[in-house]
Amino acid sequence: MSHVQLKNIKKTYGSHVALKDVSLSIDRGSFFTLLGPSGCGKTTLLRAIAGFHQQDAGEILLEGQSISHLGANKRNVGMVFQDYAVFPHLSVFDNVAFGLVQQKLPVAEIRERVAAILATVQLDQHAQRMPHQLSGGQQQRVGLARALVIRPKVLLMDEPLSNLDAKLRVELRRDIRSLQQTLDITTVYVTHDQEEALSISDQVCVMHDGVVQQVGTPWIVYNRPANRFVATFVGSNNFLPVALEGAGQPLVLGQSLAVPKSVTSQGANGLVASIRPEKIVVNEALSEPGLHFGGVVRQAMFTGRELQLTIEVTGHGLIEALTEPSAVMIALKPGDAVRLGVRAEDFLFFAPGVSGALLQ
Amino acid sequence: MRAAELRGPAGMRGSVRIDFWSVTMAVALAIIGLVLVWPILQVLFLGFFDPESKSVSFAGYVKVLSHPYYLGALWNTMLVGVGGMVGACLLGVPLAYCTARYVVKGRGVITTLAVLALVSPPFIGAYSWIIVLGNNGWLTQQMKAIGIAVPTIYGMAGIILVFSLKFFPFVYLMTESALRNINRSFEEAAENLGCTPVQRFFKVTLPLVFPATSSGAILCFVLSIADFGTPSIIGRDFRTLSTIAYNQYTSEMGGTPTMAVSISMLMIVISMLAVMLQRHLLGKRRYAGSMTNRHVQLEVRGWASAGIHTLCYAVVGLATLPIAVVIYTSFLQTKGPVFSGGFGFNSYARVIQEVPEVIVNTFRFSLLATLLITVAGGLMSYIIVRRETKMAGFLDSILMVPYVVPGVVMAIGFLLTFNKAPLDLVGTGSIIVLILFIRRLPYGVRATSSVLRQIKPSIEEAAVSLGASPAKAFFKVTVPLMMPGIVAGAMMSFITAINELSSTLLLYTAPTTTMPVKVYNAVLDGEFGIAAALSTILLVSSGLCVYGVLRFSQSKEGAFV
Repeated sequence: MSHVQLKNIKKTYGSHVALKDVSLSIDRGSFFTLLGPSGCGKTTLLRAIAGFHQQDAGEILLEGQSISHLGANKRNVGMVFQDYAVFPHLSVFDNVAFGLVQQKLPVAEIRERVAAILATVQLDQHAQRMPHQLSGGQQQRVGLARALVIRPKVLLMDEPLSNLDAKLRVELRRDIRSLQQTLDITTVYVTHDQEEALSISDQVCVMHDGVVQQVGTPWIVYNRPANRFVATFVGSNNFLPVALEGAGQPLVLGQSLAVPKSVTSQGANGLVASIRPEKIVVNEALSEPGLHFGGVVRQAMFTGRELQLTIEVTGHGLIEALTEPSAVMIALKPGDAVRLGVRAEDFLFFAPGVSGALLQ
Repeated sequence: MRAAELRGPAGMRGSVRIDFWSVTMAVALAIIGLVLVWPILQVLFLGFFDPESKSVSFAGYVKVLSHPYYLGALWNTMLVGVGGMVGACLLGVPLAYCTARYVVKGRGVITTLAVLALVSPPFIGAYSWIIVLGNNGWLTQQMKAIGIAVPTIYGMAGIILVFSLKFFPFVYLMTESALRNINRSFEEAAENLGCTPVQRFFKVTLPLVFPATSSGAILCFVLSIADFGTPSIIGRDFRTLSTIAYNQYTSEMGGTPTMAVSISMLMIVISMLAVMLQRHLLGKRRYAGSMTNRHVQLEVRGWASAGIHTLCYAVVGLATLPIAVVIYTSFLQTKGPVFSGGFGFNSYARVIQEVPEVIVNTFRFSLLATLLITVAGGLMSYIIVRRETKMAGFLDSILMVPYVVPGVVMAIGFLLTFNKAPLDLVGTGSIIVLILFIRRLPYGVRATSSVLRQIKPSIEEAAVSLGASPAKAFFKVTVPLMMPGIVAGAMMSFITAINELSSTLLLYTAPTTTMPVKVYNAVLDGEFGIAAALSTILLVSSGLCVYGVLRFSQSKEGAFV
């Protein structure tokens, strides 16, 4: 059932519309991620749930009850901040105990609960340390423990990993996810990192210009992007123009391609086909129906796990391909001719315009 | 405080919320209205009032802008203002360049001496220089003995000398910190593109520190034209607007002080123009810099090193000479008002016997004012920094006013405002506490807001999301973090409060005499021993506070400018 519900939330700052009529429903116990570029409204939305600013219109429901009229200190939601916001004048223990002291709980219970949560985030050795003695990752663990120890109804996280270095980010990401699953706590998470969003979430909500573009599982968002914006923002993609010649077969890269009915019925110019770089096979024959075409390598970049090729398709511009870095592939140099293949079913088609909808 | 519960319902944007901070805001505006805006409006309106015909008139202003007596004072004021400013820059900028760019031994000593010069009572410079270079001055006598006539210290040259040496630390401290904060890559890039070191200084370094240096310079100008003690002690026939405003007011006493008020308005206008000029000059020149490439101080040897050290120590030595003279003089044996040769504690004994109450008064008034400034300043700075409402912006701008209103003018406004029931405060200690409060409040607000700006708002939001009310979050989380800044700001307020002369001189009565007032009167009466002893007490108190500020303030000497 839905645990957090947002109904028609609107928010403007002067003439800038930060949120245009956003409605969402977040399931109990799910890890729900707001993903989008900076300025898309994701943080505004999170802070409206936290109560740090009031929406101009709309309703926020928690467990079916409206919390719109409650101050931020009455909402019982846990918040983890991008800059940690660990109180610099309090020890780790006192930081984590802050919310419990606020609730005027007995000292013994506070001790017990703080100790337990510090053990969970592996900071039990550091309880008496001051924040400046901790690394960034440890400080964020304090922030996490402090938000969780009050047993909030919802955990809100505002880009909690973006100030950490790459390796630590992946490590803490795993810890956050497993902690969330163990505690079974509804979590709303904000990030601009699409890889992070895909790897950590039950549901991903892609936002752009204050509008929800798509809500779905990571698998759906990646493989069935609702529109061209999502297809561009989540993962990388090649976009190829589709030419419709009269009532005949549509042409992609100058070759005719069998496409769904909904595509041909559009009957207009400006249709676009997309293909993920990793779906392109290089110098290999396809076993299923699809397109074959030739091109010339312009750039080859070896990243360790894979080889990124930029290929100029004769007469049709540049496309990106990702391949396994086998010995043969690594030998490719700019100027080498290659044969490329794409299965027909790996193409997606979008209506005209930069945010044209997916055509099923 | 259950402030958050009183928030308006969702969707009611712009509705008035009665919470802790809106109440605080209202109280703040009421206080500012009563002790700042109202007295200044009184001054403004009285200038348009003709006491004879009892009607609206521009006569006062016309007279100030046409009569040679007033025009002369205006011209003199501009001369000492510009002179003091230029002198301060000529001393401050080279000193800043030396200590920021070269290894100078005892940099801490240099900075501390500069800060001491800055916080010492403003008028002791004047009378110390009389002791050294006056008609009967020590150096004058020595030089006369070997047949050299020393130019007179009285008049314009002396005032400019005193102002330059008194106010240069503003230019020095601001420029020095700006020089340290310039990314070295800028200068390296200039060199790489073919600049000689001299070209580099004028084409890159100086423009980059210009915002800081000009801020310091304008501050020197505003303080120079507002200063009362110095021109009145060594000006002799050289009158400035602040001395004639004081004289006019005391001579118009009982009547309508139209002329004093007209002069006051003129002084406010000049200060405001100066501040506006500086803002205009700065325009959009805000240089945000990342500090990836820090400057290292160059080690120089031989003559260059000797030259740099001589320059640095000569400047701060001259600036602190008055302090040394005052302390030395205070321990000279006296007989009545004359020095009788040898050392002794006579002057201190006379202070204790004859005027112990001025010491008590000074500390009592200053402590009370500091307390008020600390509480009001802390709350107001929070409103200004964290509440981005129109009212907060208004509060921020209105707090600029005391910077440009000279003490004499503020005092006249107070005398015009608080002279009848229910606010008949003339002659009481309260009026002195209030004027100290309003004159120094902006400095208190500035000290705390700079600390507050370094505290991330998310810290407080974290407390609120953990269940603390906004007021509780402020007192439990923000206040403890602001504490070092609050303490440093309070000590700064205290230093300026105990040394205040230009406003209190018009407001004091016999039972509310303060130390600076007593020093001023003692100097005029030729009682140099008592003046020196009292000044030494002020100096030691200020020095102790400087030590406190250096301990509590993160930016160290930056706290003084």
